[in-house]
Amino acid sequence: MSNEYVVEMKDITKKFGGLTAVDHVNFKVRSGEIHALCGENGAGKSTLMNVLTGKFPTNSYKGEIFLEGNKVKIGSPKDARKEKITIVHQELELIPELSIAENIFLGNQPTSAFGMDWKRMYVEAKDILSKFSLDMNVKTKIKFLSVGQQQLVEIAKAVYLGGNVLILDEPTAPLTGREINFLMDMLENLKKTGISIIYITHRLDEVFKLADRVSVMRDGRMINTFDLRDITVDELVAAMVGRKMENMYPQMETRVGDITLEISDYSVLHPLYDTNIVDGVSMKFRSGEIVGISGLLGAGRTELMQAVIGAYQMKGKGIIRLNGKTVRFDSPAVAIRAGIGYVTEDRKTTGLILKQSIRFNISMASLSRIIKKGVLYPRKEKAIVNGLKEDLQIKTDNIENAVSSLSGGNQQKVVLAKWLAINPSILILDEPTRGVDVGARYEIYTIIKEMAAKGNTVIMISSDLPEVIGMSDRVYVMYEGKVRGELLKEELSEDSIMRYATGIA
Amino acid sequence: MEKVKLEKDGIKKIIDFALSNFVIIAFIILFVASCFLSPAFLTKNNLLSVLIQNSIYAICAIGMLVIIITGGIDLSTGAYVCIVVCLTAGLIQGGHGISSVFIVLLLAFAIGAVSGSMVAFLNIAPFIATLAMTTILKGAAYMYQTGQNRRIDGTFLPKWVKDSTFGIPNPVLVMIVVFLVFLFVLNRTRFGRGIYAIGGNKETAYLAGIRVRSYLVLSYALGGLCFAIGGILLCGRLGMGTATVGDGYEMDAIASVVIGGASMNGGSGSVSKTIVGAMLMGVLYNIMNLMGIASYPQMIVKGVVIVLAVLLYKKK
Repeated sequence: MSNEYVVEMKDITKKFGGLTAVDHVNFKVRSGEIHALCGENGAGKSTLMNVLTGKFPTNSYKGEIFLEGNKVKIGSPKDARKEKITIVHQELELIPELSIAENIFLGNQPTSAFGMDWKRMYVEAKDILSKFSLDMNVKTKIKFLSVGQQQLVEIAKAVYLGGNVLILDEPTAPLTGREINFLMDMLENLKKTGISIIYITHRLDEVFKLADRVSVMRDGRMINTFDLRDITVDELVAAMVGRKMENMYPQMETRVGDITLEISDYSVLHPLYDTNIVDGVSMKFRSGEIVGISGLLGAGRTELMQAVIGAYQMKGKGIIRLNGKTVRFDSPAVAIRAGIGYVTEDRKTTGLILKQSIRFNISMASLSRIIKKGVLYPRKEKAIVNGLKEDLQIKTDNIENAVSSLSGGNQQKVVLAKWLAINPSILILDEPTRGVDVGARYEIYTIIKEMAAKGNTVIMISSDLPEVIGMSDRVYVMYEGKVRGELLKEELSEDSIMRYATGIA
Repeated sequence: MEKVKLEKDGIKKIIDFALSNFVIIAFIILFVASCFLSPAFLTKNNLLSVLIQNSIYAICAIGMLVIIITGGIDLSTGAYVCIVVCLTAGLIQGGHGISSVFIVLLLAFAIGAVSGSMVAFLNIAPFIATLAMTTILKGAAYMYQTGQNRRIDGTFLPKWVKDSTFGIPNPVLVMIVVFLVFLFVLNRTRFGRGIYAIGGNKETAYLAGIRVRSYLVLSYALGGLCFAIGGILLCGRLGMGTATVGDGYEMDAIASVVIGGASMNGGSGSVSKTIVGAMLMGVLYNIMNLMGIASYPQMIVKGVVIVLAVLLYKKK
């Protein structure tokens, strides 16, 4: 058997409960190539790589793995290490309180007759770093390095540990422009030494700059592997999104009116690094309009909207106008009084109080409606909550039931009900249908459309492209903290959004 | 089949009800059992003394409950009681009369606000912030008290505490008033809703427009106020100021709240059940005393009761 391929994964299937995350996937990596692995969020890329790096026991997935033509069993991280496969995760695994040298040699420190051989460790660590033309003091504690530098140290460590196959999971997500270029050079050099690199990324510009071949996954299946010399950007985008649109978006007559909310030249500083996570963004929203905000994970969409309503840990800079008047929201309480509701992206950690009742959760943001002269009126509360329960068709026999007893879709409806209860004139929705089944989705879309039809402004942050296209009258696409493009309804397509979102257009 | 399922549902509902009202059922069982265990138990004098004795613990427990609902804890209950006893006696000796009581209440409210600010604004863990407050208050109490004779026999306070209104002993009356006030505050005000929300999920509460920081400060201040009410009643019962009292009050308060079914993680708890929790502990002590059980075995029983209570609530 020839060893053209270092890695050959054959017919891999991995299920989580009823959900098939990876579905009969074949994946081959040639020796000494940089192989990009692309796909939308949830396409199965990370799961496939987790299989290869031993995150799952051998009996929990199906399929075979060959390394350089030999069949191997990988069922634990130890197996993967033995086969010289290393992965650098998105979340770095260095210990902040230890030095660079200690981190590189963690669990593998050089020793002499008197215990630790510090001198040798520092010399060798310096050697390893210099191979990557990294000029750092190896005695520096990791916590004093930027995330970019940490990433580089982690890669150096991975290569030192004898990586034959190096897997990088979205390595450039936290990096700045200069650090990205440095990383690119570093990977080019590594490739020359014969190491094979699997590079998971969302950013198509990097794929074309760096990779030799690219594999595209979608909905758990391997769509195809292309040689980058034979493929255009259009073809790659089409492979990534190419799914047929279903007619699951309710149509309703809406009348777009005056500008209600306007954000000009708005910036938000990154909480940890000296960069802007939102950078000079200007947007306009009108009454009766549903405006989508699209972009990839980490494009700054959530941070933008949270900063605008005063919910983000960093304060934003710039001008916000509400119905023509300049305003500033120092806390969500102020935004709520101004009629702005914000449905957060994670209902379990920021949308609901799980141990409390449906009633408690729904009335939480609109207590002013049920409190008169400081006294709360439970009957009024029940009337309002029951009304919303009927309107939104929340499936429960009693509003006193714990909200945790509901399904995902119904929990999401409770969050929506909480914000509809304040009678908002502007409703911001962050990933409104994440983890919601198809049936409940349609109902939630109907509620959103009705909000707009009544003349309110709806702002919808969403990573779900069909949803953005099906629901929005207009879409802003963000990339690295900036508005990269503004698309009108007739210009909307997965292709056009993806181009702006990945930084190509 | 259908019928069997219905019956099962019925049984499940009864069990659920029993578990969530466990403290009340346990109290009734203990009470009835005590009647048989000692003939001295079911006498007017004995029951009144149990009520009077435990009214102070119950009031402290209500203050603790407010703080535990927010997901916090206050370890300085005993220190509050200690300094309040000294100060009240000192101020009465100084001729401030009834206004001594209000000065002390105001001061305790302010001290609570300081603890609350440490938690809310400086992000110090409640355990640490109130631990620091404990030694501060204790130190202040000793400094104030050393070498002083603070007997206040014959003044208005000891008289009032021993007195009754409409046949109800005054300390019990105070407990009932505190109970009713907090029943209202926790269930029928914005602040009450707010602290349950904060204890349930701070982030969600903040995003829903609840004033998390102010409410945290107010919770600790109200806790301080309750502890001071307890301290003033104790001062009246003792008829003097002394810095040797108050030890372990926080543990009894926490025990009552937990036996009353509140979660130490915050977000749950009821005033009524906390009062019953405090009374359950009181009756347990009383019957053990009447049966001649020594105080060290009593402590062991107390510990076992707390663990049992928590385990039963976990079942739910």
